[in-house]
Amino acid sequence: MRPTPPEPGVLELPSYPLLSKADTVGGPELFVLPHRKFPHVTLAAGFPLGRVHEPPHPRGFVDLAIELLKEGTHRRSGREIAETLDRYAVQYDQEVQPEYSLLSAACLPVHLETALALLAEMIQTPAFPESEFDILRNRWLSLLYAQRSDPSFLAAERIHAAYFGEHPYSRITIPPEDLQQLTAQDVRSFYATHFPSHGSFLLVAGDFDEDAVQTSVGRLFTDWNTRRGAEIDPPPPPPDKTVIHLVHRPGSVQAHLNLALPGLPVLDARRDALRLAVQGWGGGGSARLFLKLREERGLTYGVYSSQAAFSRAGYVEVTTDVHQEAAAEAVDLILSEAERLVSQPPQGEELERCRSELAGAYLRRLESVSNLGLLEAERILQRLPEDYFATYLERLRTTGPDDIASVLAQLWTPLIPTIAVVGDRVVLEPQLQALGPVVVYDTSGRRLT
Amino acid sequence: MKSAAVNSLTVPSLGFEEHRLTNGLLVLLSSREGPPLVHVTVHYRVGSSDEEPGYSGLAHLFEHMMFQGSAHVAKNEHGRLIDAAGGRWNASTGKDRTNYFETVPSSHLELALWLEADRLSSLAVTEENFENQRQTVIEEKKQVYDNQPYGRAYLRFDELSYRNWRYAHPVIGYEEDLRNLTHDDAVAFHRRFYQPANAVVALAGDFEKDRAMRWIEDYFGWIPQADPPVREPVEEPPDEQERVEEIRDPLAPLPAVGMGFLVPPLGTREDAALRLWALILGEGDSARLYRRFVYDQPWVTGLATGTNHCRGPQQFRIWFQVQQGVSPEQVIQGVESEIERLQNETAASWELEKSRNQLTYRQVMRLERVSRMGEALAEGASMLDDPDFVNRRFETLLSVTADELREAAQRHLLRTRRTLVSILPEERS
Repeated sequence: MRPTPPEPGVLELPSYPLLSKADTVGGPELFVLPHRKFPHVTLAAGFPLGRVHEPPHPRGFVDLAIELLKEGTHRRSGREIAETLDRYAVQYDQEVQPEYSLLSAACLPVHLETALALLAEMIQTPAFPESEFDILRNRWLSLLYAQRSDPSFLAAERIHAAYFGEHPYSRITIPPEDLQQLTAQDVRSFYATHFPSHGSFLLVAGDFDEDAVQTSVGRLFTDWNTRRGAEIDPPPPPPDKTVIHLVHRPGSVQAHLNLALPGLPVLDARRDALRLAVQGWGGGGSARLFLKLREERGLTYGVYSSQAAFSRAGYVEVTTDVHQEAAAEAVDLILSEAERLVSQPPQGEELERCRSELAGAYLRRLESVSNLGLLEAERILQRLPEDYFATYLERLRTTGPDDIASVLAQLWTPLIPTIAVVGDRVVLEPQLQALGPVVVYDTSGRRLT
Repeated sequence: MKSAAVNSLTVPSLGFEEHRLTNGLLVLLSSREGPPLVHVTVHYRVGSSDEEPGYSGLAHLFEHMMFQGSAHVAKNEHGRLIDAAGGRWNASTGKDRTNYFETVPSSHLELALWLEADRLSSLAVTEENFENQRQTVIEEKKQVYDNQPYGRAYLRFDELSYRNWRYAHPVIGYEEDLRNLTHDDAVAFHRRFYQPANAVVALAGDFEKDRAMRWIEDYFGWIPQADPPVREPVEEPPDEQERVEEIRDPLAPLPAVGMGFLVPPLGTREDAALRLWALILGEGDSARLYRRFVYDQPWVTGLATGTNHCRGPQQFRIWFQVQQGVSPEQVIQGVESEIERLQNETAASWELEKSRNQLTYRQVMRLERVSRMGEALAEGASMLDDPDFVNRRFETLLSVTADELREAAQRHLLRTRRTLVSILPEERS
């Protein structure tokens, strides 16, 4: 057995497949990404309209509208849509993000025409039936109630509220009282007024005939008139002092921790430097936080850091679960590692490893054309440049230690974290008070102190 | 290459080569051109069903130990080297097998093989590492089960469902057992189960087969041969009586119900029939239970159906969470009436067509990802001694008839084979 690791061979990276824009007569802007190696195709319909674009009260229009698209059109009931999607193995999905909404439908090529026709019908002629609305609302009320037993949701809710205040970026769920207040007619009117918003598009990726898809899109999307989009104001600056938000969850056997620090908006050129820093801090099993809290101290099963970025703001967060007696120790260790990251950012071998980790994740994305299609759809919705992913590896390669040190110094000096802890108040509150002022809430979000 | 025709689409089989080294190691190679990635997975034929009473959790705790260093690799170095290569790594433990995997750029295939061979042949099981990982596993149990709604009920479900301790106890282990396990237990475990003849190495992706085989011979071939442990079949006593329990869960926000039936092992034709029933009952918005209890009688927030993938007796499970204001009993009665339908009526032709299309789509997607390809080959080999299981099962699933579906429901979805667990929220102090 050789005593040292073998040297790597030569790697030839495939070029990133660029999207092209197809010519259509009327209908949505159409992007295509042909790839015929595997017999499947993915459709994506992107709308630059999300939760932040709703009025402050009542909220829930976008989530309800997107969810109800599959619950009935002028021609078909929700049951008929469900049976058609499932019968032809169309993997329909939808997501609502703060600043955009995305529908997707993946299928075998033989069922592409069916999927495309159904998607066109759902987007252009939704019925928002009263009966389905009532069923959905009641189910969501139960789910919103159930959400309040999930420690990661409770922590995220507190972090967003502390970080963004009343700004729309703080919206991560629908208040039950708002959901009670809305009607099917409200949602119908909202959809008619706002969808498809300006900048909406259709994207097709995978094994398909480009000419046939262009023809079908022109024929099926005849009622595609985009509505004026909405801009949002910048959020307030991040908190200028540390407060620990403690959610009292009786019966907890662990503390769930969530720490947020300032980050960057999605189009900020410094995001690559911050991405490398975050990768080194807690991006995986070889990162500083993982080695310190799990491998050295045995406090947790896992601890990870990540970036969240919107058009007008961003933040970096760390999440972990530890035994409750060690909550303050874990917070302290995470903050010590944050300070160390600022004073000793990744460089040399560590920086090279961070670059490789991110490059590897990128390479694995290239494996699936379905993933690629959705990734490109998100890129368009976030208004990132066309060559954003094509130049990604080169940008990582040329982002150096000085860039990382600079961005961390700008963002994290002084270091003012926002901290949320979920667990049993009796065990946690005395420890956490040693770290700073503590505000206690119950699981319904009501402030107790 | 074999293929299966569905509608006008031809779905190619997952092709592979099979080799066996002189020390008994089984090697499976599935090479194809594509993005320069290779998935390397090593499956060991050991899981929690190989543990003895008092030693629960040892297989899983040992999985953690495999990242703590070996003769030529320092503690945590395994992950660091794979990360530095741009790879992804992890491991998992089940009732019947444990796997370790890396998905790496093709240029680092040799590194992944060297690392796997080093820890198979010379793992460093030190007292310090063992204690540290014991604590980590206890935190994992708290995070995944004890601090989650329904988590403890999920573990209790297996205890009730199986009479045989081998499948009844949790993979994660009992905390008392975890605290009592010793460093010597881990050393003995490695010696007994971690040997070439008890392992399967599978490679899938963009690589050159001859060169890969040379590396495998070099790094794994010298490891001494030992007799693999004899694996007894896991069996359950014949039908007895229904097992029913009500659990109060202080973390549960809403009532939930788990209903399970003891059914034949993975790989049997009846297992395939029950796989189709799981799809027809619970997968997709048009599925029978979903349609009825989410839409027609909106009583549940969501549900899940499926079997738990065992080489021995499996559980066919239906889990659902009940909406506010609805009694679990009325949903249970409704589900029972749907089970009776399975026994008395055949599946509709559109449901069979739907199932075949869904399974075909999933098979196509499996062939796109090197990790899915490699894991499917190794899973068949380690669980059923059949690396071709991934292809054979797809063909079996497509050939199940409506009569076979009804017969499987009549034979296995019976009260005498049933476990019923109701989880009720407990008022918190």
